[in-house]
Amino acid sequence: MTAPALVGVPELETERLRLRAPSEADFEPFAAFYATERSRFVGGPLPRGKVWRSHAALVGHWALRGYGWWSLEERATGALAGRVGLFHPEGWPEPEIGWTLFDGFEGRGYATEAARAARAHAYGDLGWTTAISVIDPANAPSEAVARRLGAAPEADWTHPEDGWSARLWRHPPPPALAEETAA
Amino acid sequence: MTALVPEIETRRLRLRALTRRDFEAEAAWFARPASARNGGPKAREAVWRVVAAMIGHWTLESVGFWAVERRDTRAYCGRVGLWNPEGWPEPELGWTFTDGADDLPGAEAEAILAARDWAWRERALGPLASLIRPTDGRARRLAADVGARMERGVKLPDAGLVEIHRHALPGDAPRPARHAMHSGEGRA
Repeated sequence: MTAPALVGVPELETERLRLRAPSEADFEPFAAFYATERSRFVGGPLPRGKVWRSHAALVGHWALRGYGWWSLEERATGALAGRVGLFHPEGWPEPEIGWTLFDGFEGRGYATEAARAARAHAYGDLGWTTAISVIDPANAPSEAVARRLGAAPEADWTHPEDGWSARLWRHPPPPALAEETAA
Repeated sequence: MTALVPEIETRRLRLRALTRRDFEAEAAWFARPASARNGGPKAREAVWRVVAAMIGHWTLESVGFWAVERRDTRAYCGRVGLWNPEGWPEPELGWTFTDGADDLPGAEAEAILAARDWAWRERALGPLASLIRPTDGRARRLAADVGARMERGVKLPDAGLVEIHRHALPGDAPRPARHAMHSGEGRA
């Protein structure tokens, strides 16, 4: 039985990447990712059952908010490289731009490239006027991506229900992006 | 931006895709002490994750939970549907009802039977199980009301000991009670 596709998720393309709707087939690669220490900055490691529920909730996020996480494909190979998304579950301080790369896909600017496309969608099609990223302060590679995107650290934040802490990074607003492009 | 969720109408109810408004209704219900009958109260964050996962479940498994609303007032009464996440022993017919249909006798059974019949007709799933905590008298009574029979106990990794109540197939005559009752067995 083919599962019904998530309808209406925009597909975005960048120079090297494709941002597409998350699918049933993406579960196994994410379960493998969450089985490793590499997932320690994004809530892992997690057992398969919890990864499944989290994956299902990320899919459902699209229906509840009208935006969400895309699965990130390398255009040249079709390989799943990670995910990038616009995320605002209940309890989050405000809408976030997030990114996660699988082992072997880092160090090539993929996260920055994908997050730029996600942010352009948020500022353009969705009309966001600002955006944050929620980053574990021990996650130096992710902080470097935030800096490359022009974001700056703003405040520390603790999740009201789960109790973990992270740093909030503020992205430049749309007008500043326009100036940056014109410069 | 929705999974394609079929809509079902019964005499008094409509089963349809869960929405953002349903999340608000459910969060409001789980903020009340009365939600103890569903394992509440629960924080909004926790309710969000459940509702989001239930919507995503349709995309991942081609079955899932519906919102249940009254056809007369369109009020949200809870959710009913099929739950089969990674690690679950088998597809489950589940439900969580708010007090939205408390003044509509039999409405909960009406919703459960509609979901059960759809699962058999459209997905060839059945006879279905419902996993019920032994202390959940309300769910056990509802299971009996719709013709399900207690089959055995099973231990789940997260939920501890639960009872598997086995539903009839649509159109089946009521089956004789089974006497076997084993504890701690199962596919979990």
